[in-house]
Amino acid sequence: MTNGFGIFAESIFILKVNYAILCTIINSSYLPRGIIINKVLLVEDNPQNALLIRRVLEARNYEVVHTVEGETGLNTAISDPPDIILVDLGLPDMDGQTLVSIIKHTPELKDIPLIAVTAWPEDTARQMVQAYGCDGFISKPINTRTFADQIGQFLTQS
Amino acid sequence: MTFAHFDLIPAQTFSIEELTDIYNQTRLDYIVPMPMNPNKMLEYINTYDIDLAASAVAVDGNEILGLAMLGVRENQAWISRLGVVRVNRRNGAGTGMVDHLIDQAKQLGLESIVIEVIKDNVPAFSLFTKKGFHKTRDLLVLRRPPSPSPRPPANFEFKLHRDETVLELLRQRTSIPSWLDAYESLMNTGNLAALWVQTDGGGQGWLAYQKTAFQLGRLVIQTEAGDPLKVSQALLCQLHTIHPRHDTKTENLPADDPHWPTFEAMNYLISFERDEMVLQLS
Repeated sequence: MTNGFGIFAESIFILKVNYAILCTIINSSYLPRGIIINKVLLVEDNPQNALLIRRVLEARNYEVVHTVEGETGLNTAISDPPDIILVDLGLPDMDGQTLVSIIKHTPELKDIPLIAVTAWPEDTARQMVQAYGCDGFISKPINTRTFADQIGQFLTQS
Repeated sequence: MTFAHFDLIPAQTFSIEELTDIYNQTRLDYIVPMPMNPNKMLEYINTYDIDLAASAVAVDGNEILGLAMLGVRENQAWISRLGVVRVNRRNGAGTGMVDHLIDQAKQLGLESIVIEVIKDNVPAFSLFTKKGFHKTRDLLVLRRPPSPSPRPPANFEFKLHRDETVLELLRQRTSIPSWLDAYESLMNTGNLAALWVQTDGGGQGWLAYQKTAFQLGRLVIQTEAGDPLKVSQALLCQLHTIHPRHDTKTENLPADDPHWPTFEAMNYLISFERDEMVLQLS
């Protein structure tokens, strides 16, 4: 049996999903400010990289939650699950691969798309993300013109 | 110590937080990013016997140029965490710091200095070659994501050891360790365990490892009798059967280690490789 709140929540969810697909199809840079498409958890220790990613994504109506270390990233993901997780593979407390393996073995997080954002050589990065179960990777330095679209594609694929 | 364009200040005059920040600044564009937080830096200093009085920070006025650390044990030194902030490279700071560490090792009366250079880091390899270091071997840094493992045969006998028994096994090690997995490093790091196995054909061996909340690491395998591949396969199967959800990272396995084919067969991946280099001082 579905109550009024359930129907409302379901409608919001459907609207959100459709909106995300719409935004991927059209250029979402034309969307009005203040409308959040999706929530992104960014686990990245480099402040310049984090700021750049935040600016690129927020300009395209993503909400970005940023943590510097893996453990806080994990706790944040559990307490407030995002729509997608971006993980730098080199983190100061636990390394990115270990964080990925924990997320992918945590029932409430394992289905959230998880993308490695890494400066590793492409061949190594590809091998590692496949082995560890990431849903994809984006090489650093990011391409600011295409980054938001790449994230949108990962969300659509999921 | 003063050079034409910079000064070298003992690392012990900086706080752990400052050293961490300097180190991270030097590694922003490194081949393999390995940032640290202050806790990790302190753990690193303690585990690898870093002598902060002999280690140095290169500065030009108020500007930090780079960092170089020296580990010291008995007759040997180890150069580590060497890096120069990108905008200040090619001004001699790296060479100056290496010269300083070599002098420090000589003053301490040590016999040799060892360094591990990430493969394809051509500038670093060239620098150490010019300073008289020669390559001794290739070392592998391996990863294995958590995944199920085939169970070892039921008729194999296993024992799990902890604490002093593990150290006793490590004291009997016959392979040449790198600085990272030397007896002192393993003793300093703690959380050690060891598996001992007797196989059906008279094979015998042990596997020492470190276990933390989410990760297994610092694997050392020794075959006492029998086929090294069979013994190591039994040990690794047992390890990943009892710890199926642990990520595994093990550093500096020699590329010619007789157990390497078993690691490969057990889905270990080469994360990156290092060249171990040594400079004899006496």
